[in-house]
Formats: sequence, C-alpha cells, structure tokens
Amino acid sequence: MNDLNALLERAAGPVTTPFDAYADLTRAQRALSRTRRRRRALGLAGVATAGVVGVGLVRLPHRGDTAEDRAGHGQVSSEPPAGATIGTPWAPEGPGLTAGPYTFPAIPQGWEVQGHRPQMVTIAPIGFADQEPLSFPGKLVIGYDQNPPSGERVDRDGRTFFVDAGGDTANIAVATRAGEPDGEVTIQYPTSTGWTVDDMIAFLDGVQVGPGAAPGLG
Amino acid sequence: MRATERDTEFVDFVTAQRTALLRMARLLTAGDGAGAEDLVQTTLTRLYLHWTRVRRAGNPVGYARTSLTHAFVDEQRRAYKRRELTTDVVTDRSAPDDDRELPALVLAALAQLAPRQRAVVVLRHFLDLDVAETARILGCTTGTVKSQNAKALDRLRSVLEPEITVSTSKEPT
Repeated sequence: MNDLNALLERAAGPVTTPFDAYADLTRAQRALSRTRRRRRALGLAGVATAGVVGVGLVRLPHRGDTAEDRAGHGQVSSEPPAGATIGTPWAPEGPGLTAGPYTFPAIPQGWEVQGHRPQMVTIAPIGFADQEPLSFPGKLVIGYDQNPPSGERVDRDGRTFFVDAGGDTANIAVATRAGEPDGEVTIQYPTSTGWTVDDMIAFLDGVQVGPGAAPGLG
Repeated sequence: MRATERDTEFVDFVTAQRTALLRMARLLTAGDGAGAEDLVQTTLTRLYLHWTRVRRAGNPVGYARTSLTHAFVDEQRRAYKRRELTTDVVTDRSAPDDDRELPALVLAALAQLAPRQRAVVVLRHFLDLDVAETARILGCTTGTVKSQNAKALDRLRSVLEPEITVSTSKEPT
C-alpha cells in the first residue's frame, strides 16, 4: 500500500535543484518596468482621482439604431433612456453600443464616450474637464490586455473575474470569450463613483471584444 | 518600500521557495517540466509586482501557492481552446520494475485528471492543506473540493491499481 502523499513526494522531483534567483529578479524587474511605463502612458501615475458625477448606468441604444445614429466623428454618444439603472438586467435589447472594436451594452447615465483606440475605450462624464481620451483619471476605461490578470478571483456565471478594487482606482479583468482575441478584457474606474464591484462585473461581462482590438502596452 | 528592499526580500523568498514551487508545478502539469517552469516564472513575476501587498498580507508562501494554482487553471483553460484533449493514455499495466518507474506512473495518472481535480489532489495530498483552505485557493465551495477529491482518487486508483495501490488518510466522507 502506497500513501498518496509519499507517491506525490516522489513524483514531484528532486528537492534540490540549481537555479538563479537573480534571473527571476531580472525578469520581474522588467515586468515591473513595463507595467510602470504602461501606467504612465495611461496617465494614471500620481494623479488624484477627479470628481465624477452620475452613478446610474443606462442601457444604450435600442434595437434598430444604426452606427451612424450612435457615432459621430469617431466618437459615440446617444440619449439614454430614463429609468434603466445599472441594477437592471444586462442583456442588451439592441446590438449594443460600439466604439472601435469594443461593444458594450451601456454607459453610465450622464457620461459619454470620449474616444477609442484599438487598445481601449474612454468614457467620461459629459462636460468633464479632461477631454483627452488617453488620460484616464476619473474615467471609465474599457481595455484589452494580454498580461496575466491579478487580483481577487470572483467566479460569476462560468467566468472568472479578477478584481483589484482596493485603491482610488478599481480594475477588473476577465478572459475574453471564445472567438474573441485571446487575452483579457478589462475595465478601470474611479472608486469614488460608488459603483459596486458586482455591478461592474455585470458591466464587464457585457463587453465584447472585436478582432480589431490590440493589447495595451506592456 | 524602497526598490532595493523589495529586491532583497524577493531574492530571499525565491531562494527559499523556488524549488518547492517548482515541485508543486511539476505535479500540476503532470510532469511537464517546461510548463512547470513557465508557471513558476509567471507566479514569481506576479509576486514581485504585488510585493507590497504580499508583504502586508504576511504569507508570501500562501500567496505564491494561490497564484501558482490560478496560473495553472487559467493556462489549462486557454490551452483547452488550442488543442484537442487526448482521451485515455495508454499506460504500461505491468508492475513497475524499480523505483525509477514509479514517479513516471504517478505523473501519467495525474495527467488523466481534469485540471481542477489535479489541483485538488496537489493541494490536499501533496501540500497537505485542509478542505477549507483548498476551497479558498480554488475559489469554490468545500463541497466541491470534497466531490472533486473523491472523483480524483477514484480515477487515480483506476489508473494505478492493481500494480500500485493507493491509500490516503484524507478519504472523503
């Protein structure tokens, strides 16, 4: 009779193997540098979260809307229907709101899409002082990434979300669906909005990534 | 935290724990040495990136084990999209001639388990974690851990026995 622990101990291999801890350190330092470069590029470093308004999310737009209805000069805006909040079911009634390669069922009430790139969509309060789409403080950002996700795991409806909501800015990531570009779709938003993690997981679950998406820097 | 302090603590951790993590990864990957090395490198990089948080939590080994398990499960999920799964591996049913064959047979048996079942076996029977801790790491209920453990043990026995009989003090109840 073999104890399973003993069998596994033997199968796991030698208890001493040569390695270079500094090779791991170098690899990790490079990853940290890439992460910091990316954050600088995203305009996050050292910037205080701007005040934001509006916490209700509304479903946009309705079935039958055309791309021309939703988009103008490369940006997207529309009139939100009243009364549909983030707490409502997220199954879109229409084809969803599309900005670049990203499709999502809603934006916060009183917010608008500022701009999009293959790497991300930037959504901000209407009239927000910072109108630069590549500057993200105080904004909701949908992005596409191929770096390993990190954060607290939350399993929901067969998908595993990674939540890091401990600071001024919250980040949630989930693996893209089959048929979408391989990687993670992410959202970032200021925690001062008061949006709950559950609501934002529901929002992220509704985001679709098209073939034109490109991973963010890093 | 100064970079040099982070670096020093990280190198100390790697020096103390890398081999243990690699052994865990080797079991999770059922003997895939390159895959195990990739998992360990991914885990250590994540650990370094979040070192301040890891340090604050006060349990870097637990954090690393959790991160390694998640990296394994995630990689298996991605790999599932890329390749067809093999069905049964043809194994030599004769008794192992000597002790050198035993590890290979155990790894081949582990390869027959679904990824999360394999993770349960490694966490419960190799790392000796309790059901609650295993459930926490895998993000599932304790009931799921128990059922996955039972299925995994049945599968291991069906592959290994009668040539290798398997006992454990952690039989599901």
